[in-house]
Amino acid sequence: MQLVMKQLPNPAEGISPTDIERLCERAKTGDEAAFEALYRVTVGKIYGLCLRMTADPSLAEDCTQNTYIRAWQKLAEFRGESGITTWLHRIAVNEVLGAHRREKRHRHEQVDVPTLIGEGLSVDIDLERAISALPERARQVFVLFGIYGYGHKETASLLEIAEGTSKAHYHQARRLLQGTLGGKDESGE
Amino acid sequence: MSRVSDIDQNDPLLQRTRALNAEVAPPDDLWPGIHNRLSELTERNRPHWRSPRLAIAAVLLVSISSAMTVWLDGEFRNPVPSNNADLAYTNVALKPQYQVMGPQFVQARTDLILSLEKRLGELSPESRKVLAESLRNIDEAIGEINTALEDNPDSALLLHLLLSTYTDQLTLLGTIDGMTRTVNERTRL
Repeated sequence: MQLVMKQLPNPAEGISPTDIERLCERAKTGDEAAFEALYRVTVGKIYGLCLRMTADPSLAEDCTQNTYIRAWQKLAEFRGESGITTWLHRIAVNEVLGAHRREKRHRHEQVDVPTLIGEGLSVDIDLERAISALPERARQVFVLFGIYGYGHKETASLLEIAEGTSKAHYHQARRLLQGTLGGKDESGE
Repeated sequence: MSRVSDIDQNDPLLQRTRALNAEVAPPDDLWPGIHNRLSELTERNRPHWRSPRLAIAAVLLVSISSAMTVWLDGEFRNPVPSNNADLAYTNVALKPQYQVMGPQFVQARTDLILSLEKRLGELSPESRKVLAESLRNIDEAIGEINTALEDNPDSALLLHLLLSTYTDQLTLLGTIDGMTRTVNERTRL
């Protein structure tokens, strides 16, 4: 099943990498307006990552906020070798891992994540729901590898696990997803 | 971020996953919360000036030492004999606030003030007034810093400011005392 909801304007549209570089430089000097602009451009990708990794909207919001607070504090360390989104992703993953460590008790509430994915997106509800139901580590690996396109080496580095472990979690996730979605056409139609 | 190379591009599940939108808009705007926390951080890192006067006093302290030295240098080149040595600075010389610096500091400071007061008769009444006022300003600034420290006893900035103010004050007193000695010797010659 695929749902198409109304489109929201994409704040990143029309912003070139040079513009983002300039915003970064301005933000580094303490320009909060520039930092807010960076937030507007990147928050979709950061919240999306946090939401899918935590499968908990409330925790995802906390992690997203903490990511930007941490980013503001560490902005001087951002050298621009990687893109700002990749840099923010790394901070966000650390926030998610930290939040899970702090809240071991935290078994995510059974919130229907796909309904919270938000308006303006083409949502594959079944797949989103199946991903959110995966075991924590398998979900994190699958999200980073499957949705955000990181290789196993990078995924392993982000999650502070061995590359082989990342692959094992990915295959576990894949097997579970196929089991859940098995009866349905995998194209989502 | 390097794109994954170790995947089966024909895997329908992965293709379906890649079709998911990486960006998810948070249900609420998270920026106001981030902005508030950034403001708190800025506030926490800012010196906790009890009053604008303290800030002004602190700025004055930075320049007062050199300004006084320059001014007094000119003054001592043309000493005005006078018997009126009532600088009235001794009144603030032994305030309890100086005890925290230890007995050696208190003793050195007292000796300098007593020595200085004996020699200040060389100055014109107007000059003595200016000097006394400047020294009193330093004392008041020290008092303000101490009061601010009562509210923020762990403030490294305030402690540093206090220490450097005490040191500056001692240096200034020593400089003035040294200059008066030199002038007296020059006059005798």
